[in-house]
Amino acid sequence: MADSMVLAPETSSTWGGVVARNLARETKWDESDDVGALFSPRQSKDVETSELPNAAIEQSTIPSAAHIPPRVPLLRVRNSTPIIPRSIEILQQWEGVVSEVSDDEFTADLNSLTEEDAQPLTGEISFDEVSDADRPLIQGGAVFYWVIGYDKSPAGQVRRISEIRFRRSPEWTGRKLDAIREEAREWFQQVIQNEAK
Amino acid sequence: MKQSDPPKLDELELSLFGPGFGECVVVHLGAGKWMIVDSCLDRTIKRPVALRYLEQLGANVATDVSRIVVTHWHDDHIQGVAAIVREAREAKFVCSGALQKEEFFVLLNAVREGGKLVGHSSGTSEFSEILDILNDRFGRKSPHHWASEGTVLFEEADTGVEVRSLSPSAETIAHATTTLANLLPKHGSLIRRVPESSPNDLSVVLRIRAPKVSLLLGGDLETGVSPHRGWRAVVTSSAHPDLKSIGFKVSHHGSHNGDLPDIWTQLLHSPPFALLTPYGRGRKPLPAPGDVSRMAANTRNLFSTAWPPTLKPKFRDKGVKRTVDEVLSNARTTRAKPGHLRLRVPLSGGSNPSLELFDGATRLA
Repeated sequence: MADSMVLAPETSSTWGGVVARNLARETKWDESDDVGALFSPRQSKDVETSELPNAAIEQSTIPSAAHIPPRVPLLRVRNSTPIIPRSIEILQQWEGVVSEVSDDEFTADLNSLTEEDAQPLTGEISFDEVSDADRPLIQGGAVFYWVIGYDKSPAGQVRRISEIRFRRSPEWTGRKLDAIREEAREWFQQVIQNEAK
Repeated sequence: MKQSDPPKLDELELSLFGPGFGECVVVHLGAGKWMIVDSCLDRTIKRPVALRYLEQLGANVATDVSRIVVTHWHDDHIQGVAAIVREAREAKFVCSGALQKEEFFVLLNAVREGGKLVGHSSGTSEFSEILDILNDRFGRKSPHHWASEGTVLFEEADTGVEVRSLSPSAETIAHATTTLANLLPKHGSLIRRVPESSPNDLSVVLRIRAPKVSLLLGGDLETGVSPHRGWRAVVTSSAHPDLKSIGFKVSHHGSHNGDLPDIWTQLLHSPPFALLTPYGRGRKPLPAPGDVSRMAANTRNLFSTAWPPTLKPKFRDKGVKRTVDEVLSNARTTRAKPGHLRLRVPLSGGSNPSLELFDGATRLA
């Protein structure tokens, strides 16, 4: 049994309140949960959530701390229609490095992040596979991640997904460059001294 | 002969390993002394192939390896070399004299910073690790030798064996400052993996000379345009070998830009044993069919550690396979276990050399 306050489907728009939605995101919806057992008799209300106006929820989900312990749930949810949460099953994930770029595709070397022993791959990927926002990042040496998996919707539909996302690396700052140059200068002086010995 | 049979003490050996990405040469210099040139991994055991092989032969890596040479810093020549340096405790470390530049050390620092963002290392970050090991062991954060045209890297009076570098040339070293500076990150640029430098004119070429026989290791040196750089500088150099080599580790995976007719006529005994490793990454795998024909015109003894250069990848999951087929065109991979070519010849010349093929190595001509 999950130690939580409110059980609610993430997608339920009728719940309205921000508090309820955020809590729901942290809560795994489980058909086997005996929701009623979470409630104290004094606070329990057997309501149909679709009939509950937002204002009522807002009011009831922010109770007076003097009377109600903060970890006690406030609503009874009728558990008649179990809802399966959306889930992503990752089949394979690679870290890729761009080695060459041409007019409409790039060559990439890929190493698996899901299987340690998987073969490294090389191949060409069309720019069409990369989102518009990421296309300016396609440069030699750029790092990206490629995920292949199944997206399972609450309605039970299964969709194969492929997503390529480029890493947004920080920029070199003048201070950082000065620091590595200074360190390199000292290092190189040591090298010169070694050679002179 | 079995792969695990060691060479005789008076035999020169050139063993070349390569799976399709990566290259390593293991050389027996006579009298139980070894030199390792570059490194690649045996992915089946996740270990540098040179260490696996020397252990197989019964050599003591800690004491029997005299030299470790890194011809240049590209990924396919340096994977696992830090592990070799760590185990070969008495070996002296050699790298290209073109890297004896302040800019190279800036680059190493930049790579160290950029490496924090990237899971899989690049050649330059492996290099940083090597220098850290040398610093801990010898108190010197630099190689023992910087190889350049004419540098003697090893000599043994008892056997008469000498190892000498024939490149990089003086002009290449002079230009390396510019070459390296072009790779350095600039203010406002994104931190990313340092791309490999091209062309490969910083690479070290080695000549191993015994009293009556010699071998030529071509590294990744390219021909270039200037007569004072690349292979053009080697064939016109005053450090030119006075003994033509019977064995040749083909330069730059047999590519046309790593080949000159003068190499075959002036530096090599005819017909030489030409040994190469293929390169399965990059847009065009090497050697291309035209490269094989060109080399075959120069020797009837042309061998590759693996063939073809690339393999079609296999996937356990059908969904992954379908998606890769749709998204990644011309998907390719390389073998997990490197193929092995082994050339042995007595230091005194005399009898014919023997060439053995192991682990999928193939004759091309």
